[in-house]
Amino acid sequence: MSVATPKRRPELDLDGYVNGVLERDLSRFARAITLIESRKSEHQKLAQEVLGRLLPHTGGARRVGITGVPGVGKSTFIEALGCKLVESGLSVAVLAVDPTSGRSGGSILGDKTRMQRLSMLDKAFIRPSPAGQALGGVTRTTRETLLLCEAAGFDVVLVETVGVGQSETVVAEMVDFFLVLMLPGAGDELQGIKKGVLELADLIAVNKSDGDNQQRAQMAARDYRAALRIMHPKDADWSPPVLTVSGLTGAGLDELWSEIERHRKTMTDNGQLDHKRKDQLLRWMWSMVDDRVKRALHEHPRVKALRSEVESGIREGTLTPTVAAERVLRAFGLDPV
Amino acid sequence: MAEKKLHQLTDQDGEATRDRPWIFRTYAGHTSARASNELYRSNLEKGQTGLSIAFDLPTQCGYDSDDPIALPEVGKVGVPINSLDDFHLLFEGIPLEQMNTSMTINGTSMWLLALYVALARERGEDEAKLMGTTQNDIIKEYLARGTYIFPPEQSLRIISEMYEYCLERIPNWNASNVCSYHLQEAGATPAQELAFALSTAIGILDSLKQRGHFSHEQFERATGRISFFVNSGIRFIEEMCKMRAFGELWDEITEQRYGVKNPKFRRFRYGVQVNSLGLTENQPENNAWRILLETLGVTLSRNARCRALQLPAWNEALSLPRPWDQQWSLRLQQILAYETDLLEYPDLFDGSPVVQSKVEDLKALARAEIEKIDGMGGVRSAIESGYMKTSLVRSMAERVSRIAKNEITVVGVNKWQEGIESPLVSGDDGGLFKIDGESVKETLEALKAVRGKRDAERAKAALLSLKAAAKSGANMMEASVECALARVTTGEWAGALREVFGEYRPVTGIEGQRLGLEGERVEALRKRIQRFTDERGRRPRIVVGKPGLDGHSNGAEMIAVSARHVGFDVVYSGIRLRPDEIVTSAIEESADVIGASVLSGSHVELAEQLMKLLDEAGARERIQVIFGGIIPQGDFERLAQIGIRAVFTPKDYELIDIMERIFSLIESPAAAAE
Repeated sequence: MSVATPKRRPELDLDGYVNGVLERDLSRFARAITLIESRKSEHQKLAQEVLGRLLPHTGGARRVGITGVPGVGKSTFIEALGCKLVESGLSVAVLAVDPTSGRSGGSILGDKTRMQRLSMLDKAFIRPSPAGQALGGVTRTTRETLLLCEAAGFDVVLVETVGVGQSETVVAEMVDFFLVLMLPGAGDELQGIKKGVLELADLIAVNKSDGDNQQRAQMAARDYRAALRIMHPKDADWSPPVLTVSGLTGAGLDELWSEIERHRKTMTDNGQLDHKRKDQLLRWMWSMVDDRVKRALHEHPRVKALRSEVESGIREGTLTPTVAAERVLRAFGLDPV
Repeated sequence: MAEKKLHQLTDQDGEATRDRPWIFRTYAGHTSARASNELYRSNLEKGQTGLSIAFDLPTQCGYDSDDPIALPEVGKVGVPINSLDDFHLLFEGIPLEQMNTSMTINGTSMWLLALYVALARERGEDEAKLMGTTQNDIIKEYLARGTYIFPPEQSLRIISEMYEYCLERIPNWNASNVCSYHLQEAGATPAQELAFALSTAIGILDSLKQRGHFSHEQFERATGRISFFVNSGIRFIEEMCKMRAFGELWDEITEQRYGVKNPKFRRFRYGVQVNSLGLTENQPENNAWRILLETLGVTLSRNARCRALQLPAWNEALSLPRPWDQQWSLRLQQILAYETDLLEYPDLFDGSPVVQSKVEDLKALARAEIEKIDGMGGVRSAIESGYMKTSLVRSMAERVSRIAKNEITVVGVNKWQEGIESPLVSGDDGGLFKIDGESVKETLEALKAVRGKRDAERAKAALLSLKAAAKSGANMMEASVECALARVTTGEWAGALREVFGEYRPVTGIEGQRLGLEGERVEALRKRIQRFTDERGRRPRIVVGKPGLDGHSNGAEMIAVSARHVGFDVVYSGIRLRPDEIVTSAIEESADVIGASVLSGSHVELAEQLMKLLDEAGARERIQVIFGGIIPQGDFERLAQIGIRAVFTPKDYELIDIMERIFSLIESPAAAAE
């Protein structure tokens, strides 16, 4: 079969992207996200202009982060919750933070097969994690995509993560509410849950509480309540509840959502929500600065030239780490402290 | 009494005798209940000794023929069955009490058995005399065939309930048929085939034990009802050894694990369809020899000989078989059983050190794999975690890599490709089977009629009882028979259980797969893709999926894995997708290409639907669409008119060719000109 060269896809201009997002025109909205994900500098420049224009339209969504170990039934849960929210008249976007190790070549993007029902609803939008990016890259694109979703008028943005590396912390840092899913009947040491994840939780939901599992789920919920009682709560006005839910049957989802709404109300009334979001932005800004400075230091030609020399000096014991650090910093252009 | 000679087969009285042949089957069914009934009756007249029913995909996946997702598939790969009225038509003139009927049915197996029982009751035939098999092996559906509906836990419950119902009431019925056939089609090695099939059988026995419905005596008899459906590939010596290993391992497992004392109930009973995976689209006449050789693997060794055999047709890689193609395969069986001396000897291989060593080797590998699956918590856990699926996709990727490197020879494909054009495909029909497009009307009218004239109250009540049984944990078989008698439809029965159990989407198994495909062309393509990536700021993106109900996902999986291998970002959405799901996904992901894989013959309808949706979204310019699967050359023109940019078939076995062609479709004019 002969293969003809197709027409190059028409490029959108700044207005095209901005209006596409504001009108929530699926195709242009999706391409705006692709623009955000692009690594080309001219695309990144345009992406920042698009974001700048859209900024006044952002901030309106409930931002909810969701984590849980593989096998906890996260997709089924998100699909059930998402469908329920759409039924109640809300629009829902689902984003994912799933960094890939810096492998070259293509990637298999998270398959959507597991959220088929949700992906077909007009008021729902699902976008897997951007391909082939390390955590820093995924964090930036997901945060900015979240803003696009808000500009497009989505009422709820769910950000899910599989919990690789520091991804839970990163997600907790971009949402208003952080939900941790657990399995029934297994202690957290069995669930491979990382220390510290429970401390991020605004709510723990024991999933798969259906059929014969209900009793085990209740028991697990009791254990987590006990565990949370001895932890210091993140917010003075909010003690994280523990619920049992089932993504399969939908049991407990209404209660879970009303807890999320209650959290929103509490945090809005005491001014914490606004405060939290501003803090997140500040930390986000500084973390980007830190990343850039670190990268600049390591890529600096004089530092690169010095690297092997000071490293072997330390290995051979002819150089103390403090002296070596001073030399590296001076090479980078910093004055000694 | 004559002196006993070792090479002679003798009966109880010491008289020389000959074995009875195995059951000759032909896997058949198409178009409509009426057309299939005519086909069955003519096959039985030709000397076929059992029925093997092929159902169409909507029936297998639990949809009525008039469901939008079902329409393109009605009658394509088998017979459509919507209600008991269709069954009356299908078995007209065929006495159930004398017929051994095998049904290739899984997700809706309980429903089809219920229809069969209801038919016997309405005809006044004795339910207890029914003979046959419902395939009902859900594990391999999750892994290879794709007609699952419910989650593993509920699927295992349905299988167990059918064993419990059949044991006393239909004692000659095989409630399920553990399949390793499809595992080999999906790329399984002999050891994986042994281990995965036996682990599935272990899963069924464990489930029967845990449910505690049977006394030990009943449990032993139920074990004796477990039958297997095995594949036989072209490496026929190894296949024969595999069959001996199967028998020995099953005997060992049933005795040691489950304490089955009666050796009769420990026997490995199996039927066969020989391999389709190795059949080629190039020089298809060679497939006749392949089928013959594959048949030897399951007939030569008397102690490991199959009980029933169905053969594919020589043109399987081109289309569904015509009646003549099926007759040709049936004649092969008859010649082997009646003209040759095969059935006159005791086992030819007992005591052969070579065979014994090979068998021991296979058994050791299989035992290790069974232990591994045990360690994961058994077959259900190994499915839910994706372990089994991922193992199979890996084996298939290895096979494909080895053919690409010429480590495996496939005559007419990677060696001796040049040949004289086959006269077999030059008839008026091009050697292909065509479905009469008008026949769907008859099926749809019958369905409408059933809904119109049934007692609506009775049907409603029957569905309510079915749901109640599903929720309470009671056996659902009798409630299903009542549904059948009340003229409930296939889609209604499955829909009721979907409500209670939910639908299942298994792991696709393609993540993290590696392909052993390297070389100058791969490197050159990667460079081109890197240039594209630098220029666009992102990688080229392909959405791979299977529209429609056909669940044979090997091809789509290999395309997804190789596209990733050369540098694409791949969105693989798995099987049983509606065209609008694929298009939405492609738009949400800003994809450059949609790759749709279809093996059921519905490619034209599905292509039209896909292109219409892309037009409506204004994305036809941006997103190229390509098709792959069992697609006759005669349809290429039609697909091109619809707007499909390239079509790939089993002839295109070189993955790198496929990748180059796909990428050329989306490469910018500037890059293509270099």
